[in-house]
Amino acid sequence: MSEEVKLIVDGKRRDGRALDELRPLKIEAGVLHEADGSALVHWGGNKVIAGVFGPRECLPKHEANPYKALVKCRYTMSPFASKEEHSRSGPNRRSIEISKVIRQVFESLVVSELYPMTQIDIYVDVLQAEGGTRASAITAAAVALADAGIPMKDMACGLAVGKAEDQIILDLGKEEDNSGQSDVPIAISHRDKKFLLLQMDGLLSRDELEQALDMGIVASDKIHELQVDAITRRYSNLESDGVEL
Amino acid sequence: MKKIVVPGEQLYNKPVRNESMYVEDNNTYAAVIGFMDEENRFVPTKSAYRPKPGDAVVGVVVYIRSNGYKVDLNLPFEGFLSGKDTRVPFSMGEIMFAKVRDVDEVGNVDLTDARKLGPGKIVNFPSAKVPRLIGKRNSMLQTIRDGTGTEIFIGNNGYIWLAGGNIPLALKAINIVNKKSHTSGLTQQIADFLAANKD
Repeated sequence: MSEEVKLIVDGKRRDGRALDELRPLKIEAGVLHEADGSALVHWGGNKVIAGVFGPRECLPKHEANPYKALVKCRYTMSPFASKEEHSRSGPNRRSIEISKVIRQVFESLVVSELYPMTQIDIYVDVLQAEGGTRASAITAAAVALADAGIPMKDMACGLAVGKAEDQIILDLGKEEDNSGQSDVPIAISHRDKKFLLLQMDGLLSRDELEQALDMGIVASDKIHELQVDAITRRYSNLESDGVEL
Repeated sequence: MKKIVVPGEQLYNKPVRNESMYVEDNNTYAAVIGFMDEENRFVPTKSAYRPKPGDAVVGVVVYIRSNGYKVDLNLPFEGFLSGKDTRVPFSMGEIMFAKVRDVDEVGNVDLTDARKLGPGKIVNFPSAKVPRLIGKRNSMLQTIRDGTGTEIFIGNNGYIWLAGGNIPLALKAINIVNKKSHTSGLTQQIADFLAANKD
């Protein structure tokens, strides 16, 4: 186990990517019949599906807010998502944390004042995990919310930046996440480039962090393009995929 | 095909207040998915229904109280029809066509002018596309009524009540409106479709 594996050799990463290159990303909108809005994201080895319901009656009722809709989120990992143990059902410490950060991202985007006393549910299931599932989850949830027709001030996407072998890298895969020096998952709103999520595992100097975030902003535009493309494909092809009455 | 607009895209460089848009720094941005029509108006493709006073709605009585009726309106909450506002007695499960009299700040809906609709089929239609299904001066609705002989009532809340005539054909026509709601000349298309499929 003590054998050192180089994560970056000659400016190329283990999977052949450049330092500022994303893993292959595919997004599809409107994949579920019963949800009001949905999206499926394939990002490298990640497969993440998001379904959105609402605005609907707030339960339990004592949580209802007469001034705005509540945004609720549940992130879960399926038993077959990765080599680690996920087989016990129900939330664990990690999934509760990720549910909370996803919720906070969308609380700042959804125009919740329009729907008092209601709740908007975001369900994210990770079918397969390969590092960066919370970023994939946020990217999928943003498309699902838009697909559900829930008013939002902006689109957002999630991605990770970090450091391995003393170099700043974009979109960390599982190995880079586990053995790299730093992993910084972020969520960026598209129009005003606000950071809606910023977590850091490991250490970065201030200069390194700024460099990493700049790299993330550039990449977020590419992800946004793919999100818009997914929505456009869904809504320009209604004739073949309208909802049957 | 028209370009699809996603939330956060700028629509106008002047403030326009509307529930499917929002204003920031005197610019107007889209809040939901939609597209721009020929007259540069933003048309949302899908958005959750928000009742306004004056809306016509189709509802189902789900609960009878001593002072009135609770009515399912395809909303997070039931609407309320006061017993004072109606002379027609309703029983559970009966369908009504009513007007929204008032919506308070937390979204409670008060109904008035209720009219009983007999037994019929209720289908759900995206509320954002209801104006398209009614058409200019009822043109689309009348076309479907004439072509199928079906009695149809359309609520702004997205519930549609149908009875009598050729209901399957009427539903097919409604489905076409749903799928092609972004195209122009739709009323003529529907008229042609109904004429071609008439037995």
